[in-house]
Amino acid sequence: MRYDKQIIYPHPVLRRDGFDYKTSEFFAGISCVPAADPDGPIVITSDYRLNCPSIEALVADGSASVTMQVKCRSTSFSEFVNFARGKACMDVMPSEVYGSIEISVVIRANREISGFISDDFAEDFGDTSFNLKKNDLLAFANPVQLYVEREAFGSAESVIDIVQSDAVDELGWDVDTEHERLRILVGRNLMQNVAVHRAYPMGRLFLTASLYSSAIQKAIDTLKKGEDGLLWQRVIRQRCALNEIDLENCDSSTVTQLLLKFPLSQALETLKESRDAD
Amino acid sequence: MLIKLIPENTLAALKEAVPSNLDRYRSGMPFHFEDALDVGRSVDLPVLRTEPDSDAANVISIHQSLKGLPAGIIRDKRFWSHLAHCEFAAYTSARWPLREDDGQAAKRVLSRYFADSDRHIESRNAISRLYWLGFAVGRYHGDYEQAVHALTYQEAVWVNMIERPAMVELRTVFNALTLRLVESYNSDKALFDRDVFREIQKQINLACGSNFIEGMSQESVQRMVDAIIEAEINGKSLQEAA
Repeated sequence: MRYDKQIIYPHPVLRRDGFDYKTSEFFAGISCVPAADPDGPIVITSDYRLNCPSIEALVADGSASVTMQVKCRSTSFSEFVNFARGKACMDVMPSEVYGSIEISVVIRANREISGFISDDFAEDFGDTSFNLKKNDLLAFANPVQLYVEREAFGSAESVIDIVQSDAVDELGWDVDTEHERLRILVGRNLMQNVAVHRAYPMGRLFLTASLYSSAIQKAIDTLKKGEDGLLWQRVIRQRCALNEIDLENCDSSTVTQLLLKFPLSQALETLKESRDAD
Repeated sequence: MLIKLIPENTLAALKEAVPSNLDRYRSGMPFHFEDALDVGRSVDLPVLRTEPDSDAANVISIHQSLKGLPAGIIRDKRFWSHLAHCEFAAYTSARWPLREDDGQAAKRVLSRYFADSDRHIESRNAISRLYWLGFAVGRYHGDYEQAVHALTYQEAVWVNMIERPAMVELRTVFNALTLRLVESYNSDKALFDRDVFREIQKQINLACGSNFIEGMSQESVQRMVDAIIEAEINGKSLQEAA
């Protein structure tokens, strides 16, 4: 089953940016959390928001089910679970998946449905009604791609190492994107200052708004040009997916600000509070 | 044997050097990589046969040997590239001999000795393709060895069954089609006609496109696949066949 907004289905299918319905919407939220136990399962949960009375009625009377599906090409893993009371939850063992997984939330017919019609069908359909077979698709939310390695659940900053380097100016810095972790190469003198200030909350905020921000922006620029499957690349993709940041279509500066949660504003707010307290 | 990986940089250089290494690839002489990475695990590798029609036996032995490895290794291009260049260099050279034309030969080397993408791992690299078919058929609910023999009988069928991720992921569809391929292999082999099989796969893809096939029972999927096969083999419409 491919969930593609370009596909023309034999009946109306509600989807983001689709043209089969006029105003109806279907969104799913996905959360993916590794268990505390390293050998324990990865817990994938989902909820959804549906704004389409005709499909809501089918779900309410059991004629349709909301289903979460998890697929992993690397291991040919493919499982699904139906929502109950608005939530779906699936435990996936780390040995069952590897690398990228795709999580989809769909609404499908539970039985044959005769004469399905909606006031919100697009004009093209007019007053046409549709006979649906069991398992025919009624709606799908945009699939989410995640990386399931434990390391990929860290924050964007968790894959950055600050390393002293003689290859850069004593007061300067550079970014090395060639390794599994991002390396910020820092000159000798700057390193001494960084080491002092990263030990304090205000110093860390300042570093995030400056050094980390610039490094991540450069890394995202690199990532947009091509991918080698490095850990820092997987982590940035993962964080973007979980925070619904459109990595492909947003510019690097915007992605950086969203990933780091507007670090300059945070730093200035904290500075203001600190001044007010004085 | 210790599992070894060709480091990323070495692998990139090796790809660059394919045109100048063609004689070595043609000879079947193993490569040696001083900087190969050791992942701290070992496996007992089988001896792969090189006589014609040995694919089925090789699928079974390589899958048996490697099936306990974690997905992190099984999906690692550096691992499969090392096997094809070192441990199984002679096998790869004999099974996939290089043409005299250097351009064609280099293409074949890139396809059979390296494993750059999911598709390469699943059906191109000389060793990983054997493993991956064994893995896929290992999930089949019928006789494993019969199914391996059927799916290795014709390269086009093998590639079509394995290269489409949906086919292996959708166990019910894989089971239904493999069941009929085994029957066909044991009788008139009608399903192994390249064009017939391609059309059947196309129709299955279409049928899977607009409904949640994962929610269908094995029996329902078998009926759907059988109707498609019937329509294609006997020239009936799908409605008639169903």
